[in-house]
Amino acid sequence: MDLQWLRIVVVGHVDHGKSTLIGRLLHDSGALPEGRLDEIARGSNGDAIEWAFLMDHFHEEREQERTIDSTQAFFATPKRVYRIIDAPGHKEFLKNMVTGAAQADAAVLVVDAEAGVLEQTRRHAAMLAMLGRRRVIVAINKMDAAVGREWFDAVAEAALSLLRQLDIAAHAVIPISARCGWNLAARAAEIAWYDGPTLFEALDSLEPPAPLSQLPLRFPVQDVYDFNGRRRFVGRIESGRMAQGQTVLAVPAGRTARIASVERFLEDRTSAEAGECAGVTLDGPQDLARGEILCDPDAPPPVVRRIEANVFWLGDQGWTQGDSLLLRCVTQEAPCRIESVRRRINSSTFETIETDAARLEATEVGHVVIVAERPVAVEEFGGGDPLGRFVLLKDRALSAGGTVTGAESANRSFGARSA
Amino acid sequence: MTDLDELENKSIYIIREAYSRYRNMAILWSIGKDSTTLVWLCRKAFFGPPPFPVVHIDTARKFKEIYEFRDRYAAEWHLDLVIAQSPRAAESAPTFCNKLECCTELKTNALRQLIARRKFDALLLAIRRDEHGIRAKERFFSPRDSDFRWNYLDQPAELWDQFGSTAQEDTHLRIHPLLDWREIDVWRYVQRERIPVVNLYFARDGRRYRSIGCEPCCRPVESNAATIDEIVVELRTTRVAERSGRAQDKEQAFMMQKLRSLGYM
Repeated sequence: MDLQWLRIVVVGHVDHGKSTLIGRLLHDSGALPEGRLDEIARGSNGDAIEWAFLMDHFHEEREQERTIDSTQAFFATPKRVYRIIDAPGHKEFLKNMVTGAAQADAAVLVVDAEAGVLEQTRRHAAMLAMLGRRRVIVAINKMDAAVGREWFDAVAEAALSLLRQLDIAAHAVIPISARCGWNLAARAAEIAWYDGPTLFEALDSLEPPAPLSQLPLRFPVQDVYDFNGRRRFVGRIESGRMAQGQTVLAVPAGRTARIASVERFLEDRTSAEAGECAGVTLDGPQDLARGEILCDPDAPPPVVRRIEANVFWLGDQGWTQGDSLLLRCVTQEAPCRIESVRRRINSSTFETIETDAARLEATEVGHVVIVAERPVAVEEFGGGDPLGRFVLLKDRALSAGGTVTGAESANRSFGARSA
Repeated sequence: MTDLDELENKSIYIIREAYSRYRNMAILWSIGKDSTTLVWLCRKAFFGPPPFPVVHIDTARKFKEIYEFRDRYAAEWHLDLVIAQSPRAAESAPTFCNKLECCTELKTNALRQLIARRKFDALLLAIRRDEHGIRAKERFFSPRDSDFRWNYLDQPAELWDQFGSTAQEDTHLRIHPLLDWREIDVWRYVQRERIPVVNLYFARDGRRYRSIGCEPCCRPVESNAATIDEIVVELRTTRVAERSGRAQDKEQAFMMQKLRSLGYM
């Protein structure tokens, strides 16, 4: 397959036109299913077709005119196929948006040209940064409302400044009208002063993400199967490659083994690479359980009990000092608690609400120290390392997402590990 | 990796994740192309027959081809086949007032009774997002309460392949490994893997069934696609034929062609 594909999330403040943009993108690349266009035209009032109806499957959404959940659709440019994840803009549905945005390779941040950068704009940008989504295209929308160049420049600067604060350099800033189709696939003569890329051109110029297969091996064991032939350790290679004969180090157990076979049912294989699910048989320890990670012995991850992280609280109950939590990082699971919240942050204003906090509410971000009851293998998040992301469960419900900012090496007070 | 490889690997990951948590589970197999693909993916995930039952909800009103296909492949693949049937299915004449009542009694209630008996904690289903608007909002791991109700307004977040909450008492979890697959992806995968599908999908006398259920309620469509390869071509070109009346600029038409030839549309 020579055509690449990327996942794109469209974010921004409610009513700034995200769903409208997606509807337009589908139409302009010829991807709109037949009949959908007629359905929209019939359901709309007046002349302008309500493109937003394309993405709103729910009865409630249409009545409230608000997108509740993330849905997915495809469109294509000359270079790639894009899968769009539409994300809701309203504060209540933040949890749903995180789920959608977490899967994206890049983001389009939509800002209403007249209203400018608002609360949700800031919140979504902060979340993109937390989720490691640093490839962002800013689309200044509703340019058909006769917005002049100076006004555009001011809004564009506000958006760029917001992103700079989050350590994100925007890939492009584009004046568009989703409703009229300006500067999406085709250049708009109506915005004569603009000579930057169209949205399609900006998307096509994004580099695809770096190949995970070239990073050190990380194969988290998902389960152990003793049926259908032999004992197989199954899982998905999160980074790197595995081949027959290779020596691996299991962490956090700290034991070495040799790969006897790499298997995929009905396929004749001796190796597998990042992204593939496989089963391996080992020469060496046979008692490795779910949660162990087979790694490159020359580049193992730190194994720690104390983790510095940014957490984004999603659960409605919030967090209170002393709460018992469950940490999950790939297939690892460990009871834990948040020992301290160094900073408690409002995710839309970026203001520090307090330091040394004993409480986090939903949508707030905390710079925290987590202490796990047993050692876990984690790595600093950087650009998206699988061992750099985790979730926290409270009362058996997924309540927070987190990214690792520091993993202190196991020190003497936790006892020596055998090699 | 191609897009089909990504879809396949994600589905296998989800299936294995479900089993790692819920040893007492089952697959729902309607003998259609989607659930047969799901059974195939389970065979891949478990390196042979899945270590849990494959359930067919039998309304006793299916096409005979479905029963033949089911029995043949249950044997060939050594599946642990469990047939769920409502006691009322044995009534020969239509005794229900309407289709909804019939489906509820013969399908939903049959399943409910089976779950109550076997106490399954989780079920694998072949639901896809693109089948219907409301399914677009489903999650990979989706809790149902004891009345099978789905609280779609308040769904658990699924972040970084960490799924769902742990099941509460009196509920079961529905797991949807095929959620991201489109109809054409299923056929492309069937084509690539040579997965057997019931022959009702193939045209006879200018008609075929695009979707398969109980015989009294199924209507075939006009088609001459008599093999899997022809079905894939038909699904791609159907769109173009419907759009042929539109004024499109040359570039758009070229784009559609290219996407079709690479199997994306």
